Amino acid sequence: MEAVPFIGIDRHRLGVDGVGVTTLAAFHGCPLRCRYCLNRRCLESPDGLPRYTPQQLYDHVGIDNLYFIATGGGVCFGGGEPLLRIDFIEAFRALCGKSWNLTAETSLQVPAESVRRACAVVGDFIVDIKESDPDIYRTYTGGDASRAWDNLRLMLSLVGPEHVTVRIPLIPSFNSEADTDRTADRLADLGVTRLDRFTYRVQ
Amino acid sequence: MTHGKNICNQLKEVRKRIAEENDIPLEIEECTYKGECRGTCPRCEAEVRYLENALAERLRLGKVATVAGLALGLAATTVQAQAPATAPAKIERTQHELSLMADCVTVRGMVRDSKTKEEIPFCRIHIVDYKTHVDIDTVVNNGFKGNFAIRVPKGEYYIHVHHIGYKEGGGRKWTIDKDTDIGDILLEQGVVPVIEVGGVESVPLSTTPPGHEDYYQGVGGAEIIVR
Repeated sequence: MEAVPFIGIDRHRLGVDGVGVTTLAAFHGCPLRCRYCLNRRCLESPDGLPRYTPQQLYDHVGIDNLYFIATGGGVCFGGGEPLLRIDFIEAFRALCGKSWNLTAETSLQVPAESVRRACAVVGDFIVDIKESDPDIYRTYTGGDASRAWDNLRLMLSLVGPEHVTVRIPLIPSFNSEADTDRTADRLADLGVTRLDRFTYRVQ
Repeated sequence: MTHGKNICNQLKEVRKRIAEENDIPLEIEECTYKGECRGTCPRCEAEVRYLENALAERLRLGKVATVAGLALGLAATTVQAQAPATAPAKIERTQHELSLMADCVTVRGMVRDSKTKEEIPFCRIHIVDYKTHVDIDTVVNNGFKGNFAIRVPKGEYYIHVHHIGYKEGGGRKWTIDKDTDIGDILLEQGVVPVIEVGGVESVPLSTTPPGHEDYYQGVGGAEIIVR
């Protein structure tokens, strides 16, 4: 498999990407164009970015193997949109086996088949659902909310709510607390039990 | 307590428990470094390598190597067929690094654009041993400024600086035998224009605590993303 570009690899993350000590590996590339994207580098040219094959990434992050095993941690794939690289993630899982937990932070703006394949190899998901109102969703991200929500339903049916954390952002100038309350209610109706509500602080 | 120190303490606790569970002698000395850190340093990394080698030795001797779960809720996991993939040659280097624990000093500097003289944040700064050409450490400078600070054992090093949109900077040899400020490292713009990292920060990882503007943030690892 050819090497793919990454915008960053961040070690020793505690409590932000799931259980234990994790390393965040952020892929380049995303189908959305969020107004307040946290990682704009993933939308620009991949020229100059470090590239890794699954084996190379495995060798690179393996420096923290002891922490991963001791704490139940592992690697969190983010980006960008990591499920655009499902081939890579599957190959990575084959390398690390069951000893590392794999997490994916995803917007779910990918084909349903990618979600199915991800559910077979990723242990936990952190879903950036953005918004439940389709107009707000499109205004903020440029994407279609229904695809993300359909994929969320699929994911919940495949892995169960205990492996899915959904993030609900309060985004100044785009949504309100009432909007986030409505989104939380809709998620509860779907069976989501793990929510992470937070507020964007625009600088 | 600073974020980096918090990470360091938790990782230290992991190492301590592993050593205790497996009867590995490990003297964890109180860190005397003052100021912000990124949660790990050559000394901490050397302890991990030491533990890996000690665990591998236990497995080679037919003993059980137990890698215990932490207070994060994991049960103890007995590792029998899964020896850490560490080559025996690293034992010597680890012992060398352990012996240098007391001799760490701080190297500071500032990364700037060679034309505009503006500070360049989010650079990767590689500290490479001059004699062995081994990459001692790679840090990322302060999230919103160009300054960096790193603890290294006394010695001779190359310091290379990388940033997207610039040609590699630094590259000269430095003799570091005391706390040293190497001044400005100027980066020349390359083919790809400087990409301004913007966006919104909703977690404190890249926020510089007041009074700690001199030090890089505790995000660890080789590279940084804006979270």
